[in-house]
Amino acid sequence: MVVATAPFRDATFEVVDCLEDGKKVLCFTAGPMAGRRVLAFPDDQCLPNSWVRPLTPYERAEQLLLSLLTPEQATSWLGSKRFWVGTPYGDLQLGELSNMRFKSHEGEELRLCVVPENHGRGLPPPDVWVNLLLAVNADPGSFFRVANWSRRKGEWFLGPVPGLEYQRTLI
Amino acid sequence: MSPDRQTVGDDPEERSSTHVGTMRILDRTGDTVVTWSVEEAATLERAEAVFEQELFAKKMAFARPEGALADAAERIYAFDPDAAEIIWVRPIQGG
Repeated sequence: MVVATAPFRDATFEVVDCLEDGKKVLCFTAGPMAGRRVLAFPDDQCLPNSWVRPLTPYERAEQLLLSLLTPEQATSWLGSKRFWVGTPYGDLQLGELSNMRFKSHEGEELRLCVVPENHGRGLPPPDVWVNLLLAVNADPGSFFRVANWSRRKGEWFLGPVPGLEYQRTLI
Repeated sequence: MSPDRQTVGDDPEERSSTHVGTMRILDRTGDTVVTWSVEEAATLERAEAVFEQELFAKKMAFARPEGALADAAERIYAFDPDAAEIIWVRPIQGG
């Protein structure tokens, strides 16, 4: 019999004793646990999901991001790691750092670059998008004012993004 | 619902008195969580202190009702003990 769960992967064992309460004494015969005896509990005496692997930073960040997205945005993120956000100035695609697509209401398409301060110091990528999503929702004017921008294949310019009528903003 | 079926949280007064808020500070671990209960002064003081500390670091705080999407998140400038969740993000700049 082979136990497939790490750290017992590729281990074999034999049943040494069957106890009255359903437990069994096992002795590992091969693998990292070879020679050791353990007490095994029947399924009905085990807690389901008694141990849950801690989420990685990326997973934690993605969980938070998904909780903020509409179902359509979430589907888009899970499929392509990008999603569109409506703003008063046009549609903005979040997901490609330093190269966000922006389609203005006038039909012009630009690339924008906005980042969280010090984002290079460790934020998992989904957190970057949480940061920018909340910022652009709360104050799109400030977002487009600080955005560096480029036409499709052109050079980059410092913000603000041209051609937009900015409202007074709070950030 | 009969009284014997009533569960904690059904009574609005009880719900507000047992409110637990969560603050999420984005960082390299994904986020660091600080929770508080309006019933536990120590947790409330700790959360207020963290709020002031993050505000001093020029970060931006957004409060949202439980389970609300980004559109419903509201920028806040003072600690709100009744907030369900507060998310701290960094200021933005051109890249």
